[in-house]
Amino acid sequence: MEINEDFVPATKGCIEIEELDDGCILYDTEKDEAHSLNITAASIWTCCDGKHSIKEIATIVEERFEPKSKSVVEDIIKIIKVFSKKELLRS
Amino acid sequence: MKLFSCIQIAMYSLNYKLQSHRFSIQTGNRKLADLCSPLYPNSRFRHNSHADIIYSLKMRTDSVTGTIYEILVNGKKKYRTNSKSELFSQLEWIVTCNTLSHLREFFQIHAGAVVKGRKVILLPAGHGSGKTTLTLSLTRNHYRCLSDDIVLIDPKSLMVIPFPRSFLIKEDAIKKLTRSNLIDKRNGYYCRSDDTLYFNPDTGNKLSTRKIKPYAIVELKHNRRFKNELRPVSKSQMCIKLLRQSFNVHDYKRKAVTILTGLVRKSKCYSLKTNNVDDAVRLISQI
Repeated sequence: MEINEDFVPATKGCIEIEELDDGCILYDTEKDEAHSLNITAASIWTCCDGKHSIKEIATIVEERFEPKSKSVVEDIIKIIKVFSKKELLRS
Repeated sequence: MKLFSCIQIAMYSLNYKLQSHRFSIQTGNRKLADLCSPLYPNSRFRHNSHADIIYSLKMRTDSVTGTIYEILVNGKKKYRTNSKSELFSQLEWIVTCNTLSHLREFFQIHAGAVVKGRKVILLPAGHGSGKTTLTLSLTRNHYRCLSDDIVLIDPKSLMVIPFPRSFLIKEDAIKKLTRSNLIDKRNGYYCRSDDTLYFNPDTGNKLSTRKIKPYAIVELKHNRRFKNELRPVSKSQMCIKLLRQSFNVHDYKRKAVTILTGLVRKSKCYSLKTNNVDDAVRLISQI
């Protein structure tokens, strides 16, 4: 699975989310594993709905956080790769 | 002619109540009953009532094996030793494990807990992180100790429930803490077999059983090379740290995340890095 700016990430149905002020906890009900996300990663997670590409997610994140980094798309690709490595995304 | 001879053997029965769990230690030997006096002293319960578990202590001596001590749990032999000190440490361990097993209705965390006013501070940390030294030092600074090692959380109300296990202090720390007047060896039982003091602070006063929600959760990190620093940490990270410090997370699974996110949502979360206990106390007092 190649993850580039056109990739459309979708979260697995078995992942449940508990939101917090400064991030969230993801719970994989199949593996009984918990993962913590900071607020940026949590926002990206909520955008992984199988409808938005990484390029579109980058636009949403830019509007929400006014990021200092110029390489927002690259940063999001890195985060999506982490989600994918942890098997949180649908293949 | 005398048909029956009857000998009445004195039976010492020590009864305990820890939340919903009741247990009893029974022995026919006065010395063994005395040995048990430093075991959960704040949870002793006078009335004879139904016990979930009965621990029986037996002692016998013969010319071949010498003195043998036995622990029976509900009539079944569980442990046998020829050391009285080992009998105590094993009994303490068996009682603690069984009690935690009976109190699965509570979410259990490996943490210390102190309270000042209405502010309960949880100190989750693994072994050797300075939790006991800090907890003892805080009690010298107007805090009351709720727990040194185990904290129970009511899953519904998210209240902290004290677990009055003794402080287990290893030989090398005993001298240091005695020099600092933080402990008095007379308030506990020194177990030679594992070089550990089972220390009970304030044995005269029952620990508060009042339930309070935690005000702050402080993760401890101790190293001589650290700079002293108390800084806020993300609640999601604290949640994962608490999950790692839980004793019964497997009983709760998904619900554990709900309990802990509920807990961290309403608490301030910090990481405390220190190189000495005095600065640790000073920083915690600022919370």
